[in-house]
Amino acid sequence: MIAILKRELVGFFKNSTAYLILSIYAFMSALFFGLNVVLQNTSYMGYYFGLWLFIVNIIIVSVLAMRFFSEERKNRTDQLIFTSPVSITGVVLGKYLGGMAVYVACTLINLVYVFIIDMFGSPDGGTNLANFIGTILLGCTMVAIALFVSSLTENAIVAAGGTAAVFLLLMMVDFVASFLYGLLPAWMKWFPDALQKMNIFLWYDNFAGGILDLTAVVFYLSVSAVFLFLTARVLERRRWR
Amino acid sequence: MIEVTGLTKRYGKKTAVDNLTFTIRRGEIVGFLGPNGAGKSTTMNMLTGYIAPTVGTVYVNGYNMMDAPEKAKEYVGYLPEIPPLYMDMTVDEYLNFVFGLKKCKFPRKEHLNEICEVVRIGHVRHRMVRNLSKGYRQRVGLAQALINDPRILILDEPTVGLDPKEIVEIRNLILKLGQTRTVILSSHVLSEIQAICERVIIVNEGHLVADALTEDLARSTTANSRYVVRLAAPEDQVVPVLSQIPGMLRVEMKGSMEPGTVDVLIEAEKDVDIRRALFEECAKRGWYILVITPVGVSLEDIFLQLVDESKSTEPADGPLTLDEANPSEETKEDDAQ
Repeated sequence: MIAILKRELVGFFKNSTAYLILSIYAFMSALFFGLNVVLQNTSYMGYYFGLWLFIVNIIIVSVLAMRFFSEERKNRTDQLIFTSPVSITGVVLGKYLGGMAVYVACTLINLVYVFIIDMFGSPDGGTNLANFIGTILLGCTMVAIALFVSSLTENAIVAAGGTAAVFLLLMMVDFVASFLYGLLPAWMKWFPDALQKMNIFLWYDNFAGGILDLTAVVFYLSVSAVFLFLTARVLERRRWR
Repeated sequence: MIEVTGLTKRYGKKTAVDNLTFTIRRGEIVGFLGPNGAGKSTTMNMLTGYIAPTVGTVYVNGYNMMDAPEKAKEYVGYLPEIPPLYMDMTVDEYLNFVFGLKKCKFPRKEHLNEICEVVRIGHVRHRMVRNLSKGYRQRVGLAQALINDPRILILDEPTVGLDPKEIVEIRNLILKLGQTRTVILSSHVLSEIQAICERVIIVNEGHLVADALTEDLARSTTANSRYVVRLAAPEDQVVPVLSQIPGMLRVEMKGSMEPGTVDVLIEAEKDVDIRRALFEECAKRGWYILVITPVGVSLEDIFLQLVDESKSTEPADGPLTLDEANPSEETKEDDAQ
């Protein structure tokens, strides 16, 4: 697992992927920080850590998805990995932690904005901490989903596009649920409720408000674990096809 | 060392490998031969645990590749047809990565130096893999396969795309590695198998066609012994006279390659040493034998013969086995009695 993790980090930083991701994150987060905090003349960063940051996350995690398994399959380097004495769980975790390392490096850029607020105003430490934790947890889930999508294809573009499509669909689930809520009879209301709960971005709301929501923590960690498990199953199943 | 039983791989309705059974003993250099699409690479991938068989088992040093894959893979070094290289790494970074991936316990620096020396890539260790020639990439691939000091080395078409000099170098390297390891070499280049391997397993359309020692295979499938003879003799008498020799099956004029001589191709029955009778006949008539050249049967002839036979016969006839081609001492004694 450690060898795979190191290889992932070398891969991300040796070619331009990590720098591209960091640049996108830095540029877009600066833009959204300017629009939602500086121009609003506020030190409250809850708006910044909202929808706008989700969009940045979707872009960077989709780019990450290009590299995970799709590229390995395309270049046949997966033959080295899967004929080495390493478990599939180890491979999946190594890849996952590599992706998370890049994601966390991106989120650290947000610290710059906290320092800026600190210089000119008084940042809400609790809200910011909750948002940081929420962002990392949301990233855990998003990277796990990206890893799963990447395991399904050897085309890097399809992996990126598929990952972005999954996240956008999850966002749209909210609208569909609201629509269904008005249409369905009372005894069927559980369905849109359940549908709404599938929106991983909705679970972030309490973190944005500065609340460390334990239910959301459990949700994010559980969904991450499920997708890591599914990724391992996909890789195992491919050997049998 | 490797025990394969009933190995079968199906992709939907297509059967890529069909019921292969063979055993490879410690220290053997085995050639895995077959035309393109015969199922060689699929078999290699199953032997190394990259893909799972639909039916059948692979045991490596007593460990089942499906039940204890991590343990079984410790004994195997694999160089696939396309070397699994990361183009964005230097050779050194790549080998260090593989060292960690294969959980090697050797002193890292000394071990990598040794491997680089064996495959002779010491002078390119700091170069990016993407900038290496095909030959050097193949060597780096081989180094990767050797890093865990495997007892079994599986090489899938290791000389494809190399220039003649590189082919000779890689072959010599394989021979050297084969002195201390079991080597399975897949190829569709017959001369390569003939040059390197002591035993050959031939597959065609997923079926086992033959499994025999390379030289025994040549002997068992060659019905007769053939020679080209250069004689200083009257041209019009050569064919009728030689055809009378007991055991002679065929005499064919090949023309005259030097003044006053004729070249003839003679073919005698198997187990008849026609050379003695030929000498006596020529001596009796005052003819001179200037040259006798045995005409060997190449593996290519055997291969084509076996593949053709496998297409025309029912699978129930079964492949040519190691025991048939190379009878044990006991069997030989029985035959003698």
